[in-house]
Amino acid sequence: MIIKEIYLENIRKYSQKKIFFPDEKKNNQRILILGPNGAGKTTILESLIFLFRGFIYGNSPQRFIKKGASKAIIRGYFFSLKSETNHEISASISIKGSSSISLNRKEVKRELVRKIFDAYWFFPQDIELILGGDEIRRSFIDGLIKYFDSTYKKTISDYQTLVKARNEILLRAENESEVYNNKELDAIEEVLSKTTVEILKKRTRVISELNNILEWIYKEFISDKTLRIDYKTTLKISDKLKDSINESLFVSRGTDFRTGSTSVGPHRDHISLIYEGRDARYEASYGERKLMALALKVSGYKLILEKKSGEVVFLADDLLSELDGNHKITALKLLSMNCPSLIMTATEIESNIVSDGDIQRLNLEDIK
Amino acid sequence: MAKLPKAFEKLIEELQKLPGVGPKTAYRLAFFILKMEKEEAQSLSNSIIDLKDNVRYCQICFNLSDEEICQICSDENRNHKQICIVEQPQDAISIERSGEYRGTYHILGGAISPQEGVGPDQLRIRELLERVEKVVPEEVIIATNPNVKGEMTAAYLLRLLKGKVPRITQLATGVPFGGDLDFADEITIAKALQSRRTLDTK
Repeated sequence: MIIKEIYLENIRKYSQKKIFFPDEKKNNQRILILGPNGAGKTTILESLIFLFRGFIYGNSPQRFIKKGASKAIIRGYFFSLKSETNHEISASISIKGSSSISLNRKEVKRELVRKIFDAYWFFPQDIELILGGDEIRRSFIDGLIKYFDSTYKKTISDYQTLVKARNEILLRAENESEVYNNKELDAIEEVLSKTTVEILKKRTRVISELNNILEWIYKEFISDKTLRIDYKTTLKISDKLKDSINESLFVSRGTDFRTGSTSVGPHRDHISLIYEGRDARYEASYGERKLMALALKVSGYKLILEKKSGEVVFLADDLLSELDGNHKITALKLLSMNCPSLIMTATEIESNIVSDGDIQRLNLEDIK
Repeated sequence: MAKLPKAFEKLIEELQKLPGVGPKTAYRLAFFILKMEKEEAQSLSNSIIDLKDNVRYCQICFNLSDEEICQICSDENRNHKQICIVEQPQDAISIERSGEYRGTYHILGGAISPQEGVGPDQLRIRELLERVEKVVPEEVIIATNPNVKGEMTAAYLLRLLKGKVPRITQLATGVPFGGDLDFADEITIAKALQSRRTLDTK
């Protein structure tokens, strides 16, 4: 995609601002947004995420919308390289959180916009993919699947409803023997097992595809060490997947009755990053871990590009901070070699390291 | 703004209790009713009361009915050995409209949803079992909605009815007829693929 211009109204510190993107090459853009801290670099990335994805990254509407304003507008003018057409996308959000989106001035469902353009990103918080708990990696994998599998969102929400239903019955039961003789629980677990099969299959497949890319990327760009994702389910499974899941849920009824929650299933599964055969959380330096997180995200991006028909831009916020000289160069190379459509932010000092002539600069100070 | 007459405000308040009616619609409806002929308004209000007084639930299938036993359950020409289980009366109406079905119904009055406090005891499942024992149907069609609650209910019913009824079927889900595959959403297509059927190739 080519981003030609974005217009921000009442976003953060901007009342009204037009930002023109360098687009003379008539090809996928690779742009480095420059400016001192507080210049609004991240705001531009957040605005693109809001435009394509419909949510505010790490913030509430109250903080995203300019103080005193009740409504914010983001409008973008884009060119699709696949369909060779221009598109105008406009999104608004009110302080109460209600939002709407229109494509070429017609109000549409957000899914329709995502079929044409989408955004994917690496933000400094993504270091948590390495350092954080399983839930962060689970939501990374589930989020990744949702990019190209439009039925997965419903599968996950059905799963959550079913787990809540199961917990509710467990909470209501008066004693442990009662939970083993409950037909309603049988029925819920039957449907829950079916949904679980879908989640396990999709996660397993995506993780294996992701590993193929990740192992290659890590070796090619970072070091000759191996980095891969490991998925361990909390369920006891056998070849008869659905039956074994059903059995596993049944067996855990007693424990789950005592705790009032469901202790096994995709919502508790372990997803870890294995670096040279060991949990990456406890290995390597901070800078190396940041590169691991970046490699993971870029692998996800490549998988999305393989599987999704629309055009997806990679947004990398504050990529170069907290990395030493060599790591900076590695990170830049990793991105520029793997992300055809790329927008990065950096401060002026960090940007000296960017030597790739292919990367165009957009200086926020120049466009006041 | 000047205050509206009390009677007007009261009507707006009552109308807003209806599903899908917000303040603006309620306001518009109230104005419309105000302009109606008195007889028309009277007829509207009477029919609401009449609905409450005279529409009952059929003693057999719990569908809406004028009499103790509904038209369908008292129709000799229908197959009483076939029972189609639905969540709500409107589901039975939809199936009736197709003209395809000649059996009877059983209206559960909802679907299992523990979070909302709806379990088997809140649905007409005990009545269904009694009916099945009495009638001994040849086929039971489970036609709960194709969503999580409907699926939980279907799984529960299947467990209860297994062994009691020779044939238990479930309404198929799939691509809408007369439409293009192009326009069907992905979930519908996925479900249609899962429940695809073998064609006769002999």
